Amino acid sequence: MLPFQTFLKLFLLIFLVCAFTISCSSPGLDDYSDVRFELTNQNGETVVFPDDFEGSPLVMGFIYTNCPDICSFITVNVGKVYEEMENPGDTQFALVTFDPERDTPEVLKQYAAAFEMDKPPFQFLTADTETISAFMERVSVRTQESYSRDSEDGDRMYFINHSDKILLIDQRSRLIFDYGGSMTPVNIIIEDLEKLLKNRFCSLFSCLLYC
Amino acid sequence: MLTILLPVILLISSCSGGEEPAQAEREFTLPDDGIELVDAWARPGRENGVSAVYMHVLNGSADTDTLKALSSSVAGLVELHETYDRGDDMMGMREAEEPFFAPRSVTSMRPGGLHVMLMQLNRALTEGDEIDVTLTFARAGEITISAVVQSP
Repeated sequence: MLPFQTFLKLFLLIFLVCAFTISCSSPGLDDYSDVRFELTNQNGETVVFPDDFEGSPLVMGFIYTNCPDICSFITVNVGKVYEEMENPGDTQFALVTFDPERDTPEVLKQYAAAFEMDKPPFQFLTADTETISAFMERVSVRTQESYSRDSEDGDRMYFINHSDKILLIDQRSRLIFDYGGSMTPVNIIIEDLEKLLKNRFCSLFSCLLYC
Repeated sequence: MLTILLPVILLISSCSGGEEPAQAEREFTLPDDGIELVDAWARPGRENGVSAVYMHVLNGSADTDTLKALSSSVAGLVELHETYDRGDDMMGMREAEEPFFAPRSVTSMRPGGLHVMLMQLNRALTEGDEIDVTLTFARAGEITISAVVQSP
């Protein structure tokens, strides 16, 4: 038999651990840990979502490079989150195109360079049409061709109606926040991301407990 | 001189905070007559890609004016477009149908709304570059402005 005082101490310890774990754990809006998408970055390297991002928070936006207005703001916002954070740590930043037909790795590289983002930690991602379609469906990004026209040199130009999104995904591939991509003030994303980075110890601790 | 205050609403949406949109006021002095274009700036863009130019169009005349043509030395095709919220969780872009400018008014081309769309860029546009854009109005005639490429 345990002495009452020892039992009380043990009970208190278990209670505190439970309370700590509950307060730290975030249920998330979605969980991407059970999916696997093979994408290609602007350098032609294969990047697997979410496997290659696990262990670090991820800020992910969705764009197509023939959109000069909304998508350029999504791109700049993702860049500004990194630039304006005091300590981004190992946070990863990705922009995924939903126009893989035109947005090849080479095009994405030129686009990234124009925004001075063709450098770590930024990745601009594409894939084959089927993969991108499945990926966008999984992350709830909606797209629909709007109108098209033929240019003088015979090329077909088309535009796309699309969701306006930036996602914040935690180190365990859980969706934590879903922002309006072009108009959300960057400081809001930074605040959420900093909380996520601070809570990393909590998450690691709770993960160890659950495992 | 006629001075008006135009509330420029910076459409700031927040899905997590539910905060009120931030507002700022911008003071414009309308020209005595004709059209003046101010605060022009452009987005970065890759070669063969697209960009957008934003500005304020100040119509100081007593008559409505209409935009008849657009051109730029850096783009093969230039049109007036507008981004709009489709209301179904998607943003859309379309050619602006009636590019007219009311008498003694300010029309703002700004992100998420009306913009001059540059297509088929013949060179990459990066921060700090200056580009020309020519707007031809029915009454005010041809006006060429310089826009600085920015990533604010």
